[in-house]
Amino acid sequence: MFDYRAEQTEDKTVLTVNGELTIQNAGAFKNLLAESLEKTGHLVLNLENVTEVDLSCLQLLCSAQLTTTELNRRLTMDGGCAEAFRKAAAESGYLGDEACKQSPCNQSCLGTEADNSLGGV
Amino acid sequence: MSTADQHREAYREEAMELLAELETSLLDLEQSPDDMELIGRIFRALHTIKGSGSMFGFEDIAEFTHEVETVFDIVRNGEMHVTKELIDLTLSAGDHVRMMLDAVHGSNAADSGRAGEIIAALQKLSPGKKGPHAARAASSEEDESDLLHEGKSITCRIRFRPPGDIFMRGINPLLILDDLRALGECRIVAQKEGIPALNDIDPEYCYTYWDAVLTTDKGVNAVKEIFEFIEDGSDLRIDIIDIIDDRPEGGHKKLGNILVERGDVTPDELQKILSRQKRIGELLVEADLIDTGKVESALTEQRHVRKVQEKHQRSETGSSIRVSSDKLDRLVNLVGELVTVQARLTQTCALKNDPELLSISEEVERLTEYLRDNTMSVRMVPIGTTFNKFKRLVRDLSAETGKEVEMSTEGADTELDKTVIDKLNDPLVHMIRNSIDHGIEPPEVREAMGKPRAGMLHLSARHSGANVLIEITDDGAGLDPQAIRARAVEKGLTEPDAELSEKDIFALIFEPGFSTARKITSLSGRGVGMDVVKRSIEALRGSIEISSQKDIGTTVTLKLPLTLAIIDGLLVKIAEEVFVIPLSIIEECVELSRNAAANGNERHISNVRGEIVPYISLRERFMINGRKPPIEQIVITRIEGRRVGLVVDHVIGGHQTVIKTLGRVYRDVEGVSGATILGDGRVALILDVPRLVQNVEKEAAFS
Repeated sequence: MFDYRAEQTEDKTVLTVNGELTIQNAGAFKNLLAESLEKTGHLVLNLENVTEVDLSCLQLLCSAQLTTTELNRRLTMDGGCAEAFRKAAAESGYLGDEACKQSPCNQSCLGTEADNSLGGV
Repeated sequence: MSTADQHREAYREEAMELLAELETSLLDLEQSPDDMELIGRIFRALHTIKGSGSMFGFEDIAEFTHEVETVFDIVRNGEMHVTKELIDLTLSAGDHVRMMLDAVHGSNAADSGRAGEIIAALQKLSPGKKGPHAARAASSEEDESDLLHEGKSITCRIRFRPPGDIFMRGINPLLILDDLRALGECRIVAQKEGIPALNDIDPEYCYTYWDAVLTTDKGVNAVKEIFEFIEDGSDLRIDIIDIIDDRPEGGHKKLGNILVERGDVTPDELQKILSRQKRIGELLVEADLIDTGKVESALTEQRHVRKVQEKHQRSETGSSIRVSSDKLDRLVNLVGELVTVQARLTQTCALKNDPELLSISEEVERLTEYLRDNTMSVRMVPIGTTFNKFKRLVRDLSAETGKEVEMSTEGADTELDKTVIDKLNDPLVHMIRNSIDHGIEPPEVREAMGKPRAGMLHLSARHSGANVLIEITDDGAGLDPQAIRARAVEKGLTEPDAELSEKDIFALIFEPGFSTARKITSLSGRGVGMDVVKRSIEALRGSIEISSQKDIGTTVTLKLPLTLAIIDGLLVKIAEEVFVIPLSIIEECVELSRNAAANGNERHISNVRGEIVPYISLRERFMINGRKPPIEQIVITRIEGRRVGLVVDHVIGGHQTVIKTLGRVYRDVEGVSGATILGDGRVALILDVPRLVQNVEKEAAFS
């Protein structure tokens, strides 16, 4: 299971997600991302406390990034990178070499104000 | 030697090594007949002997080996079991190939009739079974490609697009990627261009596909197997893009490089022009023909292949080269000369007392020492290969004598000078033959004695200071001191009433002409045995010792120096004569005052910290005239477990001793094992201390 907390500020929404981001929760996570992006110009994701990640979740983040570009909004990361996240990104080839940074869906992918980028997931 | 001859010689050497590997693997296979890895190794050895044979014009070897390979292909396919008969025949086949190779070298031609017999017997073992040709025809294309790439690393380009519903099938594609990584060096890039925006995405659908570049030595089939269970609905493409073998470095030079080499353009000019040029990836993306993900995937593949090739080249150059032992001998001789000249340089510099010259000479001395040690280490080879050869000997002897013998080895990694190893072969063969022929009892006798049916023969090697100890142990009948004594008396080697310790009695075995075996067999008992063995070991500056217990077993211990060419010695002086004592046997040096010598009542015994140590006065022994100094030096050595002193006038110091053999005239001088050239050009004799002590003891016993 996963839970989340959304904090709305003047210029952004910080979405903190905890727990498992796996295929079982993929539907719910997709809705959460879509709804959050509808409401804010700048969505900040904090996935520091995510315990499990699979490919379905990585695809959703990619998709969210694409949507952000389409809607002319911003999507950035906050907090540290969870180990589960780093592992899934590496295993899936999403973190492979330079590819991620340059692929269309990742040109500004999850870039952060601080250096908390996931290296282009 | 022409290039073709060089190639043929290289093939001969390689084939000999492969045959040795084949023999070892066959003997191991006899112990564990179901070991598929061993079967694979045997098959590969045969395959290479055959393949390279036909490449270098050894058609007869290729043809013969092909027949043996056929049978092992059947075994490899699990259609035939490994039997003793198969092992016997394959061992004989190996011997026959060896004879064929020797025939090329000018030895007697191999008996073609024997080849026919072996092949006929092998074919009888596998009637009606498919040979490799049939098997290959029947097998799929992949098997063929695996066979082709056997032993080589392949690099594959893999594009894997899983079925969209893979998550719903309960399959985690990341596990498939993990399996792929487990096969070798692998780079995987996810292609994500198919992922739609959030409004259109089905969160349970897999939009990702992967491009992977994998270098593996497991064969392409192993790669295919990973995807086997998900093949339905998947889009899978596997292309072999590189096979890493021993191909010479190929490729062609780039135009720019040629122009720079010719001096037509400078490297700077070239760089400037090149920086204006857009890279092909950029051009393709700009033309909207592909996206950057695809370019990056291709670049990853390029980087991967380049990295693997570089790594392979590095390991190739870093592995080993084959050098003839003659060249090594020449190198060692030159290093020996260098050591001698360096000693002279050191001595001259010391006399001149010029600080600058002294520092240079010290540097040269240090470098010479490194060079000496490195050159010596090049000649060191593990004794394991020699041990492995004996497995076959033991097997054959067991069959011949009807005895059951299990051989085990220990310390196969122990290294010895190549010359020592080469010369050790015959003495070891002799002792192993002795152990099996005289030592180990027939199975029924052993059972009656409550011993295991199979006798044990253990070969071990280990370092002990500057020496290597090699032990041959058996759990056979042991030596019978009474029988040896009786035989020695009968042969007139000792007096019937002589007082002999057990060690002395065992030492009689090494007397020329001694043999207790009443029956002469083809193995041993001709009475030319152990004295020859002892002489060979002593020629290697080694020693031999026997310990044995009746009905329990015998252990023969060989003590051998690590090297024969250069040793660390201690220079000592008596009057104007200089001698070298090998440093490896020296324990300490103490003073011997005239009073202390007189206290010993001319019995040549000194008291070293309460311990009685006998000594030999070298001045007396070598009849050197002149006055003794008031205080002499005793160099205390350890010989066969006992401490014995050598009295000299002065101890000069350590010396890198290049051993020169004495000429024929001095060959029989006892107590001297060689000579060396000193820095000032004088010759110093190297003392053979064990022999010296032995002679003094003998003389004392008779006086």
